[in-house]
Amino acid sequence: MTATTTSALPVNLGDGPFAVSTAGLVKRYGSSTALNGVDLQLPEHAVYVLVGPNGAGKSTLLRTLMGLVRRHAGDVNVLGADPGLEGGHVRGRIGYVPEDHRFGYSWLTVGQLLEHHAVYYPSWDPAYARRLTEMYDVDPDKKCHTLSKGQSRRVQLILALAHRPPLLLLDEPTDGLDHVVRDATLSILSEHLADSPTTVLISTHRVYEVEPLVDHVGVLSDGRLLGQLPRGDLRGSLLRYSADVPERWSLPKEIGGRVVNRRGRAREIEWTVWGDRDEVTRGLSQAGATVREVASLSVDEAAIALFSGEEAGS
Amino acid sequence: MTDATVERTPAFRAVWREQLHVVGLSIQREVVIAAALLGLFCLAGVVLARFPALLALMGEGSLADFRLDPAEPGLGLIGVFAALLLPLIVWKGERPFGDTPIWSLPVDHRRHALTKVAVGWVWLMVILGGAFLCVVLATLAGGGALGADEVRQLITDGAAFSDGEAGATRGVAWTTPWWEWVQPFTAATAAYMLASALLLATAYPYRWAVVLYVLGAVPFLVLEFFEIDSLQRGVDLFAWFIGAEDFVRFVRLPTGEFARGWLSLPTMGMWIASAAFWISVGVACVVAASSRVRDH
Repeated sequence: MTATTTSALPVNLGDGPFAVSTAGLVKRYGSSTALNGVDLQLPEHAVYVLVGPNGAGKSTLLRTLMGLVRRHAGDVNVLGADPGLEGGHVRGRIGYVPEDHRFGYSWLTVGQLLEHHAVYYPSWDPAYARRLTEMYDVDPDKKCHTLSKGQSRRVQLILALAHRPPLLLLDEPTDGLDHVVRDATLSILSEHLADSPTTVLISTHRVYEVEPLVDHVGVLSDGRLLGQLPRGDLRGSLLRYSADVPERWSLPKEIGGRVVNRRGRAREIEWTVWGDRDEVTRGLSQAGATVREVASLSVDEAAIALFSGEEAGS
Repeated sequence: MTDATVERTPAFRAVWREQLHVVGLSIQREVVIAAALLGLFCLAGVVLARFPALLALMGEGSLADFRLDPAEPGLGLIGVFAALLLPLIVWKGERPFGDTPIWSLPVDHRRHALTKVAVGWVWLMVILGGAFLCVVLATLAGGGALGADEVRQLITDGAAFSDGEAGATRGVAWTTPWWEWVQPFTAATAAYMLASALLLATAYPYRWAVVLYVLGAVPFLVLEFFEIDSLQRGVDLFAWFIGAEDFVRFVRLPTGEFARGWLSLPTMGMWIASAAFWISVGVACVVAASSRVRDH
């Protein structure tokens, strides 16, 4: 038995300052709605992971921030500018790793592709680009069309990082990377964040791969932003409660609205509930449940609970 | 240095130079293949012109009047066909619609698209210029002449000319004017602009090319069927501009020989008017089509 509700999750991160914000963002493809009134708030210098299942609208959201797709409604502010009005200016301050691994100029060598990008980004750091190329063990003489998925991803990460942009938009950045390269990427990103003040928005459905970097979490499902909050709040307030309940027992109303996920059978039930731990525990106890365990969730477990209604490991 | 003081967008000149470079790389393979074929063709022409015995061995006549006339129907069409195909190569690896790398770069989309089209045009002129130079050199190497220098028979009485009667024409001295050497370039420019506009405006340029071809053929069929002379004149002018028409008509004389007569002789005014019209249409279409790829 599962049930999910996320109405209790916060979506407002306060007054900012925000590197990126959207208000009521709507994007439709024909009759289907990819983004449905999204109010994204990405605090300056935060590492914000946007989680959601495939088709949730994550890539569309990132592409909208890049000015790559036309929005149907809503406001978008990226580093103080609207990408629809000042697209070139906005993109110059973004390091973007697209979902697609393919390069347009597949006949270029990696070295030529890096030189091509260096021309377009006046802030390109050639020494840093060389260092990243070495760290990622990328052969500059190799033609782009001969690169594997993982190698292409590495090159895309170099292209995104080497001009030291104030904002990184990374769409499934670890897709195609093996464990070793994935760990190396996390180290490179950590080092990059330490060297250059950068705001990062990572879109992924594999949160565990980037979890060590993350300090904010947003959950997108069916084009709706179900919640966004600091990671600390998520860990402290989204908890899994295991309890034994008597027969014909029902959840107290004041808690029911905050249940993100419920599973279990007969008298042994587990809830993932958003709220103050003591308050929820007290509410359950007063309703006759015997709370056996209260456990915090990893960001990955929380994300899966939020967008699928099925907790990790269930 | 704060981020506000860091220059984040490239200068237009840098974008222009880089596009020249990258488009040059993208067309490299096709240009090399075309140049090799053209070189072989020119070499064969020179050899046959210099060694007429080879022609005789092949059972062909001699190259008695070996000359390069830029107004020869078909010659200009080669440039037009090349111009129609070039946008596909210029935009190789990029799609006007879609998440391709060019649109992720820090340049206004519309300006970037127009820059790429302009750069492609520069390369088209370089390629056509090179091809023309090659053909001119081959003609000279083969001992041929450049341009026409002749007396042309201008048809003064169409019906009489069709009947092969004498006195239906009058002779007019004709030397290939300078602008006829430029005409293939202007025709190719117009064709390139129209093809680029089609590529920028539609997600399915091949389908639209077929649709436009069919739609374009309809007026021809209507004109032929209803014999609307005034409109036929406009179609003829278009065909002449792109190098598919030279206003020459042939008639079989009672002696069995063929006589050649000109319905009219082209003028610089015709060329300027045609070039201005079609290039303006092409550029206007490109500018309009570029709004499809503007920033969102």
